Amino acid sequence: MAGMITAEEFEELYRATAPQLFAYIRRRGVADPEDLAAEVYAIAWRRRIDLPAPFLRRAWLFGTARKLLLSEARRSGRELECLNHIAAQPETEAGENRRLEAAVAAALGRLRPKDRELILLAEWEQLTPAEVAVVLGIRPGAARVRLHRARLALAADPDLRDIIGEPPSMAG
Amino acid sequence: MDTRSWTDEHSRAIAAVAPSVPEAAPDELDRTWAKVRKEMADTPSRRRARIVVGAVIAAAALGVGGVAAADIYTARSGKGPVDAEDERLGGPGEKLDPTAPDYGTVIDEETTDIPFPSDEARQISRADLVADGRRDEPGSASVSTGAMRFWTARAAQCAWANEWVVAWEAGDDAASAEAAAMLVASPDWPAVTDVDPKQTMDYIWQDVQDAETGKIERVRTRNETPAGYFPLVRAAVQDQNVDELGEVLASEGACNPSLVPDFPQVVADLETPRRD
Repeated sequence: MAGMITAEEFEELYRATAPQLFAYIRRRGVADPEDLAAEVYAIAWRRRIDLPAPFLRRAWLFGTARKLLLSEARRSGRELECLNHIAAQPETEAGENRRLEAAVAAALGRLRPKDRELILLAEWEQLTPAEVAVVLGIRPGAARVRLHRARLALAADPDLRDIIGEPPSMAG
Repeated sequence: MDTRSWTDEHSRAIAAVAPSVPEAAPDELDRTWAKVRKEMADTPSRRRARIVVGAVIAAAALGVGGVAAADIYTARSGKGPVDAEDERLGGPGEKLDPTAPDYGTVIDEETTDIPFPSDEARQISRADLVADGRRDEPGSASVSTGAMRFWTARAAQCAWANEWVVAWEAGDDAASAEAAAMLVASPDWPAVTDVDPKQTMDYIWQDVQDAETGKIERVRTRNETPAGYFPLVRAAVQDQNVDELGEVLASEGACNPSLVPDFPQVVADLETPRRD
């Protein structure tokens, strides 16, 4: 089939994206990501005729990893970890940074899970709205709108507003 | 001022709470790649193992004078959809390789429950599917048994429609009743309900932007599930309305002309736009 990725191209895809995928999986609470990452790329190889355009393949891999993580979380009856590390930090790390991190974590925790996921994909993984759409299996336009709304909701969180403050006025 | 504006400071604050994780180490990446490579190599080797077994059986059946082709491989993968999305997009059941030489045999095996009015009609449907499958390069395509069975059911429905019209015009009440019963039952065939249990057809309004002028126009579009027209076929037959049946099938373009040689209105409109 025209456009199907070759084994050589597939290795290039692996080398280019695996470090980011490892980091993504680790940020979701998996200490040893090797097996899960291997499964993601094995699925990608089996479904290589379904892979999207090259610029969206990283997002496709993230989306596959996310499905596997969610599936594992359902099996084990726990939620995906991503913010627990903040609460686990020692109290000795006091000061403004600690206060900000705690406020951000609390505000993120108060977001709807779907909104939180959008924000973390955009801010932690540095994915574009088009990539976020691929990860979540939604339309790019919907991703853009939902991300905008999620950001507004987070920015409106009272604790966060106290710490980050108001943006400078754009009025001339 | 909008007090809920998102700023770079917000982005920095969110980034600051990202868990600090180590970079993937080179040996870790290499180990993982080795696992992936093993998986990549395993799939064809499992297929080759089945080929060897198949070749032995074929050789045994042929006796001393038999020659088993060394490069035979099978349409059966032994694998199903990897997730719900895969099933939704590709259909249920085993993934088949439609380019494999035994794809026709697999079609025979998997579609015995789908009724055709004649062996000839069944063979036309089979030949269509096999020909479609061979348009892809060997080993490059995949089709689910669910999708393949659904296409076969569509073909069977076309063949029964032709049968009904012939019997109707000939005044053959028994043949007409049998064909009508098949068409009325067709929305409930497992090959159809497995893929499309809902069978709905409605209309939606969509905003379509003209690429050149930028003008946005509201367009009414038919929104249907794969077998959304099956209930319309049933209704037309129950109303004993041959013209309506012809119009429904024609608008779908679902029938190979060879399956409806006596029902020309089904074929006549194949090149015209679908009705809305």
